[in-house]
Amino acid sequence: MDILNIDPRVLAVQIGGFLLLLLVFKLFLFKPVLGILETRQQEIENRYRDAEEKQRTADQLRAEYERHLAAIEEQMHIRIAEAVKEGQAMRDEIIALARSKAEDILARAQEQIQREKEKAVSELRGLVADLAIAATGKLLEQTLDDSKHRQLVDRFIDELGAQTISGRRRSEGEV
Amino acid sequence: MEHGHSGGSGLEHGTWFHWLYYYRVLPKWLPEVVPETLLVVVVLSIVVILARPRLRTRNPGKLQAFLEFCVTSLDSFVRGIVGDEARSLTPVIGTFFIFILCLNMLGLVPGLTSPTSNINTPASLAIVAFCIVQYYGIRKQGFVNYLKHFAGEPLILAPLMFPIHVIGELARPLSLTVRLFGNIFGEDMVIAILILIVTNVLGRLLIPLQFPMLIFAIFTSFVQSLVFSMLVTIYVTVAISGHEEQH
Repeated sequence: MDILNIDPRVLAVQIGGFLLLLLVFKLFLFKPVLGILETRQQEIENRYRDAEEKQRTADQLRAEYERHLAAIEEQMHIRIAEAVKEGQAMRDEIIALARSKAEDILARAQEQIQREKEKAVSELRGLVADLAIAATGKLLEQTLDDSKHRQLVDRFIDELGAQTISGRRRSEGEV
Repeated sequence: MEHGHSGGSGLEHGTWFHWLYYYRVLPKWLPEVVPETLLVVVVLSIVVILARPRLRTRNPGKLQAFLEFCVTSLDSFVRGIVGDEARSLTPVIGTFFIFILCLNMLGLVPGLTSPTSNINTPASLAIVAFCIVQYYGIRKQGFVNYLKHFAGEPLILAPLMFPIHVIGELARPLSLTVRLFGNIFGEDMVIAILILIVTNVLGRLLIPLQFPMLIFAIFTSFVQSLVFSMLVTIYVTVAISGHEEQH
């Protein structure tokens, strides 16, 4: 030992120093730091698990919402189609109603025109007869029997009317 | 070398702790590497004791990040060699590594020497390592089985194998001691000689010749602490598994 200069007292002191440091390191460094690392690892694992769980829930919710949205969209399309169909039916109904009303109005107008025409013809006939009687009376300066005279004028007018209508038709045919 | 204390490094040239001997605070037989070692023990202890309350699971500070880096590196280093037993062994091997690294590096501080350049320091560390290896071997295998593995196979050769194994077991702390002491002592000697060359040979031409060696000493300090820790870990692994291996 003396040759190597090894002193048991120094060895004891150095061993004591090392063991003291070992104790301090174990209590204040390795144990707490390894514990913290383990806790952190556990915490991270838990967070990952939570995150995965939340992700799964979110995915499920998203799928559900997408299904809902698809159903709503389909419903919407159906409703729109129904509304379009209903609108078209309503349009057809309105058009038909309008058309029938227009036809009614037209028929009534034609009837009225016919009536007015007949009335006018009747009035004109009376007037022409009066004029003819007066003119004839003046020309002949003789008074005819009034009823005979009227029959004569009426026949004349009828003939005149028939001639006028046939002449007009002919002229229209030529055109 | 004013006081004839033991140590044998030849580098007892009066450190910053020399006043402790001058004022007779410390006995003359105690080499100056002892207060240096205690300085390392105290500084490291204060650092970890002060850091302890600041350790948090979330948002670690810079010191905690550094400590976590050291601990995880050492833990994975030990775990890689030993396996599941690493949990109880990491503090021991970690303390060996950090302690020896700091002791080796202390020689780079002007006015201080490496405590490991005194043979008493590596010898004391090797004795502790030897005891730890025996403790783990006995704890894992039981006292009888542990002794059996010294006897070897076949049992008839036990009278021959037992002393050989015991000598082999005792050679380990010796090799640990001499390796660490020789490397650090040699490194310190080279630095000291280079400084002597600068001061005595070059005269007024003050070129820091020792500077490259100081840089290299950082590397050797790290390597020697790593080698010591690794060998202790391997010895424990061998003791636990019960198989003899040559290293």
